[in-house]
Amino acid sequence: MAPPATDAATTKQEQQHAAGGEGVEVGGDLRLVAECGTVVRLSRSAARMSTTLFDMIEAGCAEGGIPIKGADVGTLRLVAAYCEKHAPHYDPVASAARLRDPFPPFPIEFTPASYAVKPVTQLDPDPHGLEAWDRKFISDLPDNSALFNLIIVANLMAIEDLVDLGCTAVADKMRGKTPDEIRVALDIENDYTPEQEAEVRRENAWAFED
Amino acid sequence: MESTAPAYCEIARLPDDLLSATLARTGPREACRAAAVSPAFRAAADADVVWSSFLPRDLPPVADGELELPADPLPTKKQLFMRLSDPGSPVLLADGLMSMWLDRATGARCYMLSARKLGIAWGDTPQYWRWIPINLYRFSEAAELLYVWWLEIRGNIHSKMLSQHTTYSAYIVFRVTEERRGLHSPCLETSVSLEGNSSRSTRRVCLNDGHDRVDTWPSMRGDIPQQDALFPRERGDGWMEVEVGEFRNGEGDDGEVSISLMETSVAKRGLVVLGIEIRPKEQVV
Repeated sequence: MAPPATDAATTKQEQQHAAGGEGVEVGGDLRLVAECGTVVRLSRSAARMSTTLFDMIEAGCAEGGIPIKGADVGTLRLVAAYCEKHAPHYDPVASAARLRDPFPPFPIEFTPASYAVKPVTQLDPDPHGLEAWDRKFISDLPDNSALFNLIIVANLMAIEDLVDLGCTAVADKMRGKTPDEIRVALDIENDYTPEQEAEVRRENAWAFED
Repeated sequence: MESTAPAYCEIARLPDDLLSATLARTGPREACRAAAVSPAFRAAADADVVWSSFLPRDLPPVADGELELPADPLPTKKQLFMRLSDPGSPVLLADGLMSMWLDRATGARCYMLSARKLGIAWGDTPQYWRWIPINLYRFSEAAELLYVWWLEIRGNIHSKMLSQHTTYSAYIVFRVTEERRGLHSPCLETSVSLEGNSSRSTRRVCLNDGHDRVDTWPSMRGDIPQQDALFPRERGDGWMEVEVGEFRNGEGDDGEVSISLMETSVAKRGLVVLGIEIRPKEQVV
């Protein structure tokens, strides 16, 4: 994190700009204001990934500072980084189509038998390296808390692709685990009584057969 | 409890709809297990929005009266999923010739093409095949082979009826009678292909487990099944099955899936065909 002094100076300057509209170029970067007041810049092209911001730009009210309620600076910077990375290849139609049918979320793989299927020509599944970048983006998050913050802020800003990425990351932490393992992975307290838990397990018995 | 557990649950900050969105990205098994994590998780895991995502967006037309669900109260999406994914009671489709169910672990659509749905060469010639009554998977008939040299069975299903991005296997579901002949060797040549792409999966299958009596009927080829032949195994319902091929369904726009079995060089009898089953390929662990 940057030393507090620099942040404070930038904040005051940016806040003045945001408040007074002084020297703000129309058509320039957006200024997102975190809960603590720090500004995070976001280019217009990246901002289109957020439905909320896109609507504001269209409506002409994206000049000046845009407060993002409840968002801390760290999360906002991550969100901005994601949008900047994905913006050049963003296709809203393809995105919407993909998100409409998220299941099955995991590929059902098979190992080709030696005498079986002739492989169909494989196109490069990750032509812009975005999937690899996304994987690193998620694995670089320090803890579950950061992941949840990311999802919450992305949801607030209506960045569907990022919400999908975050939710899928949490889903990945649950997959193949027993309820106990899920509790450990996501720091969840078990507030079931033993009778309640037994009842739920009975109700969903098929899921516990191994 | 581990000492590193926070004072409150971080995940509790996630609004219900986001928790449900997360669970919708796991799978039916996880969503059921998640219900046992905590009461908050149960509410999110049982939510309609989660199970709507596991149910296929559109189901093929079903036969009248097949899906008898109570109207009051309306079933939840979870109940609907459980009903449709009960392998013991598939749903008969409107044409009366196919039944459908969902694979409970993946939500993938599975089908059984009844013997009547298949193209069985000489199937309508009473000296060669006869139709016997059964009562299984909503079907009322199976085809019994009396005598034939030319064994050719074909089945089709349109890829749009299947789940996207799923690898499927096709199985012939059958029985052999005491009087069986010519089913052990030579093997049947089987294939599964997709109209829309160039993939074709082939197999050699034996419809007999090799424990039969010596074949005494005339044959034109040798008696030993090829090394790479597949042998049948018993199913839970008392019938046998053997895989006849596999295919990968992409977006569902690859046209018809064509399945065929052929063996025309020896005289055969004693095969009872229930149908062809199409279900997700088993994971090799």
